[in-house]
Amino acid sequence: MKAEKFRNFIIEQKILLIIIAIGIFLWISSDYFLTFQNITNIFQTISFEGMIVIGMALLIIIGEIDLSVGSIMAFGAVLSVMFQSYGVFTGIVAGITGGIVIGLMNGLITTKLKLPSIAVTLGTMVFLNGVVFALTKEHTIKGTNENFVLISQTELFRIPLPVIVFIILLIIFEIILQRSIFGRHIFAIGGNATASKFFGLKVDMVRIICFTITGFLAGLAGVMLAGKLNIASGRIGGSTAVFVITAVLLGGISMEGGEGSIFKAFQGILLLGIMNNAMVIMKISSFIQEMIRGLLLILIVVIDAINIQKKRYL
Amino acid sequence: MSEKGNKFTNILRDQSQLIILILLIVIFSITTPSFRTTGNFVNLLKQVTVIGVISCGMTIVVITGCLDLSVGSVFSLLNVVSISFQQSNNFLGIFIPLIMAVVIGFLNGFVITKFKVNSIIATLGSLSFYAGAALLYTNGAIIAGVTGTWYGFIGRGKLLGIPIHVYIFFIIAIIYQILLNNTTLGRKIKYVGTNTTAAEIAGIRSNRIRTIAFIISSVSVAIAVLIYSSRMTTGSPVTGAGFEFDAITAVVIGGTSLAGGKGSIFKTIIGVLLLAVIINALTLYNVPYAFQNIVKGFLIIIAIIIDIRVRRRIEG
Repeated sequence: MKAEKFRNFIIEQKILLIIIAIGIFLWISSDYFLTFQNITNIFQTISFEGMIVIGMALLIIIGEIDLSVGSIMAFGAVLSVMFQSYGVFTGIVAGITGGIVIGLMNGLITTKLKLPSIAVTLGTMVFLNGVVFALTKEHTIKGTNENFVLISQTELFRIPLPVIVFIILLIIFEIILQRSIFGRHIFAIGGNATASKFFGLKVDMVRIICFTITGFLAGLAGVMLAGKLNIASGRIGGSTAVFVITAVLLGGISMEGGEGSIFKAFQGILLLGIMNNAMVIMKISSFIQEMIRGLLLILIVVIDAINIQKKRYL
Repeated sequence: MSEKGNKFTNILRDQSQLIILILLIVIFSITTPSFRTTGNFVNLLKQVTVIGVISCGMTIVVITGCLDLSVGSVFSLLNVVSISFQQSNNFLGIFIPLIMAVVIGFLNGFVITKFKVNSIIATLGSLSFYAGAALLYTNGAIIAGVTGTWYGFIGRGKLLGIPIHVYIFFIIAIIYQILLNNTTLGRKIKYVGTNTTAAEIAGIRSNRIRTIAFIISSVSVAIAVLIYSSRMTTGSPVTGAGFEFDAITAVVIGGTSLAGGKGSIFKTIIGVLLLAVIINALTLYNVPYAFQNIVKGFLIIIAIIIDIRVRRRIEG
């Protein structure tokens, strides 16, 4: 009985254990790894895409997907750089509003026209990419307001603001998902959308809200990213979709929908962040890193698909 | 409505893309003098061959109900590989990419069919993988091939005033069209796309058919690479970035359904030309390049919406 409990624990928390194992390995092999500076660094790198991971986790749990997150992030970044001349606050609001509008649009098109979200967001991605390139005239644009960098360079207790925002968002959305009625609806719809509809849940409404939340988070991530150096360009976000979807699936959330948690998604992005950090410490070329990211996504979906099939035959 | 009238509306609906294409050509020819020159039309055909051949391969994958997002980065990889081998031997520069394409297509198809993975997600992974591989192969640099050999003939040679690669494009299109419409394999491809379960019950090995479709897609990319590399005699590890969306846009606005089972190479060619004419007109009207992606994205969304609407009306 006790052995079985132990086995279940290992299966449930395998990602956490892998993180700890890699952490110990890196700690032994590199003096630099376990410094406060490096840990903050890891968190700062993952915080931008981490915000989007939260939204993507909600979408995958509800049985949808959003491929346009990278373009939304670039869009948010560009808007915030363009509008900051009217004040830092206006810049932030512009970037976030842009994200919300696109997310809402994704949700409305998907639900009202009953189209597969993977195809719709593929279209949004190309469309928005064009918009971003048109807005920036294919250049990197630089902000005019010197105070704008404060949103990403401010530190509280030596921890950068993006990391703090990321952690607060994690906690808020984990509580919403696990403790609120809205969260319960997300699980129900992801588990069985037809049954949920017969049960009287507003399926389309919940889906639209999830797309909008993802748009909001991607826009926010874009604003924070732009704040790092106060620049933005259409080159932002090219590999974001691959990164974010890998993180969510790596955390153990299945493409089948209906289960998962924000904490799991967080484990996924943390593992990716630590792996990236390890590859940088070991001086692996960025080209190989891109190849590894691609392989990892394929590997993760294959493992997920095998698990889904196993469950069906049980 | 009379029988004849019904037939007429059917043709209108079936060939709506062709009619739009003709209308656009007529409108642009009237309004823009520089559009209706012979030089511009030859130019237009020259520009579509690379993306056209890729789109023909993509059509077959889409008919089986899948998508291949890796074509762009596979293009980049094969481009640099082809040029690097062409430096020593023209034949190697042709055959190595073709062989690699077969392997790449097989791997894509194997992962997707064997493990029943969503093809978009899986090929998004291979997109990333091959993009990294292409950059790694040349270490991020642009490489130059050897000029002055017969290798350049594929891309630069002319027959009756029309570039050779335009003929290659049409020959490929005709071969694929015959393959789809007049062979057992083509019929199997359509059955698998229409209803995988029924096809399997009928004894068709759907996994094998889909894998073949992915191989055809990558081999088409290799042929497009040969056209491109012999024309440019340079290899850059990022040339193919975004080709996947151009190809998918062409296939979808041509009228091949993303749900699979229906479509034709002919439709895709109409789609390729439609896209090229629109982009060509935008360029002639001095619309900035950046806006072209906005137009493409719009076209994808509109085409998907129309596709689903039509399908729903047919299904009831």
